[in-house]
Amino acid sequence: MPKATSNYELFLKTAAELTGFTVGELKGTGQAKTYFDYFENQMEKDEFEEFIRYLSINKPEDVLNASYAELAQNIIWLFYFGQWKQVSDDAFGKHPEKNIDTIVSPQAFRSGLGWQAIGANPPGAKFPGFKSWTMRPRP
Amino acid sequence: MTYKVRKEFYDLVIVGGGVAGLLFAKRVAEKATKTRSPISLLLLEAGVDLGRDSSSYKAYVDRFHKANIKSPNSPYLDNQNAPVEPDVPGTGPEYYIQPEPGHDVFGSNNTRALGGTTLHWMGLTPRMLPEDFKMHDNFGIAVNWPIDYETLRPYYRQAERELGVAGNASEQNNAVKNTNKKLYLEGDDDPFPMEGIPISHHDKFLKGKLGDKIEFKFGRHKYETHFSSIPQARNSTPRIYEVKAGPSELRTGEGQRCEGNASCIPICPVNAKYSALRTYRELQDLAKNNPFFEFELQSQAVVTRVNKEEETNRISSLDFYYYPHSEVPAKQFKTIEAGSFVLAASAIENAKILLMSGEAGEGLCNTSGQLGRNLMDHPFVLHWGLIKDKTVELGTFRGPGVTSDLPVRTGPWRKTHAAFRTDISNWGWGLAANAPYNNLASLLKKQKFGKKLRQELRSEVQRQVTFGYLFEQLPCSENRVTVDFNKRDRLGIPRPRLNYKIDPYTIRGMECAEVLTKAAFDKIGIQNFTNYKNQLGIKISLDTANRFKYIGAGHIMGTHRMGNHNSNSVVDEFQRSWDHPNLFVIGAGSMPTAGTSNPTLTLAALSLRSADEYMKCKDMISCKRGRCKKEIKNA
Repeated sequence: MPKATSNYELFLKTAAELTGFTVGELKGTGQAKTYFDYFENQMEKDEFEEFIRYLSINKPEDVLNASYAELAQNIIWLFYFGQWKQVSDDAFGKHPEKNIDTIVSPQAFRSGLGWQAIGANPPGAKFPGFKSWTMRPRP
Repeated sequence: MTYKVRKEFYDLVIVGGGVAGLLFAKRVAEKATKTRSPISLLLLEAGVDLGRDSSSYKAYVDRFHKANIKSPNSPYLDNQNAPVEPDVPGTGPEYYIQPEPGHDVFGSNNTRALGGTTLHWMGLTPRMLPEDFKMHDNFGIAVNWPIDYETLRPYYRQAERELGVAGNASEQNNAVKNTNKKLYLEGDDDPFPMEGIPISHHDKFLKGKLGDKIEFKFGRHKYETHFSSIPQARNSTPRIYEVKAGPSELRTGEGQRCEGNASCIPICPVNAKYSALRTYRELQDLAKNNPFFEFELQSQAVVTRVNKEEETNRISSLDFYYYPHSEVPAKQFKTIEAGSFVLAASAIENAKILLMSGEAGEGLCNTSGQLGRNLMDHPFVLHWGLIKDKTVELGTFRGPGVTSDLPVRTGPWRKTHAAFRTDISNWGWGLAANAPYNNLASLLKKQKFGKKLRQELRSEVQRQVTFGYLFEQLPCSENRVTVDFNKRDRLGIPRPRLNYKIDPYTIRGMECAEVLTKAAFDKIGIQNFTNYKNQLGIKISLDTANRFKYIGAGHIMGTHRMGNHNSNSVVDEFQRSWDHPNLFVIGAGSMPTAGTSNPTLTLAALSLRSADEYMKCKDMISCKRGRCKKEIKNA
């Protein structure tokens, strides 16, 4: 198996722990590989390997409390709202113009799991249907 | 869009492809067809002509989804050839020149594109109250309208059909319970073409706790307000399926039924909400193979002045810039002649066009000196809180933005302070505190993650309540639009300078609303989290205690008020210029007072009434040289 694949799986495993969604749900957004690539393309190869290794051997609470905290939080922002938040981390700097607050794509926004987390749907997408708002929110 | 104007003369030129201009055009087309009196009509739109086909409409939706700040104009083109004030200060070039020292910031902008501001409006359509038309007679303040509620009643009903309003009439009468008037008559029962939009789970919970009415005291007055649903131009279940033959076919069903997309502002992806693009499509249908109605749309055409004939005071032509591309400032100067003209470019742009006209910038249509004055909005003040009971789930961020109202719209207290209506938001603290994004940010700061993060995010967002109060503002001649010839936009057109101030009458209304919030929040069990420190909003210069911040409601009103005499008003009761008999200046700018209704329905009703009047008098006012008839013969 090529190394990139296993890095991807390690990335997803950590992402699942951070977001509270399963690997299957993360993949179901259709955006997981895009987000993985977003990191890989922005970091030098060594840095990226180190980042993935760090994620895979540490517990989420430690990941969120150390030098990679901002990057780890961005895994949550991406899967929740399709959003990249500018980080101060030099490690994420191959293309500085990409390190700005941005929504990765319209599709990324529409696939945000944050809306599911709060019992709603992404605004203007995946519409729940007439009268849905009159009922209890789904669990 | 390419340049399509082929004729030198039209019977009628309308400036502005928003709801006012398009409804005027549609009514003219229908009447011309019915009476078999041919009319040629040119519609000039300053912005781009997008959103009529599904691919460019979808591009609007995509732009909204991609936008970092999901503000009202985020789906639409940032077109500096027809600029607007940025939704959020600092996110684009300024358009308004303001504020003057000691004044307040005017917080409302509009959309300059085909469809106008109805592209991003919420779609709420309450009627004005009978008392709103006679503020001077009833309360000794402000001015009376030249017409009363009864005059406008049939046009309200027609406008509700044009816009496809869903509502329950009986509940709307709650707003006038303390008067002897009725908004909707018996027999006129349920005039709305669609059943009311069902109120949200969120609202049902609040209503359950509050009961049918809330009573409170403020100053020496007692108040009573009823939890009521609110009419809106959004497809629900049609009451009327009648399909009339011919061009006056009722098309309330265009677009899908509301699917709960929860994005009315800034865009409904399924066209369940009325936008003037719907009326545009109807207009196109009317023009098809119709010998009595010739119609041309020219977008990317920014009007710079109207020109009058010296001896008759009639408007003979107007000048505009056509720009072939929205990205570059290249422009071509054009002039068009017509029998009659309608300015329907929004309150600020209408005033601007007239102020830029005449000799050496003295302005036209301004014998009264009222042009550009009496600028009004409904300053929008938010109060927000969290349900204390952590087991409650309100169902936030679902459905239309607003389904209920707590109206405090009229009473004897109106002598002393502003009336208001209440948008009870279905979208949590979205507007108040950028929920749910800010909730996620603060949970991440606390290093929450995984299932716990999900649970806590949900629990916070599900308990969020926001009351948004829309306050009446009185006309004040010092609140005004002028034109700054030294500061120009990218095409070289002078930008508007605004003077605006919130007065004590409105601030006192804000204080009254605080009492209502307290009464309601206490009864429901809501902890008040209102804190203007970090809220995006505008401080009030007279509110030295910094108690309130407001947002513009997007309700730009009052710059070319109507009245009963040319000494006190810019237009007459039909929105026809006192000074220039073949010029109509229409839209919310004609409103002498603001009341508490979101103004679109009222301006729609006024437009239809003006179009009827135009059709009655067009031969008198427009065909001085008999030219239009000749033109049609030749065509």
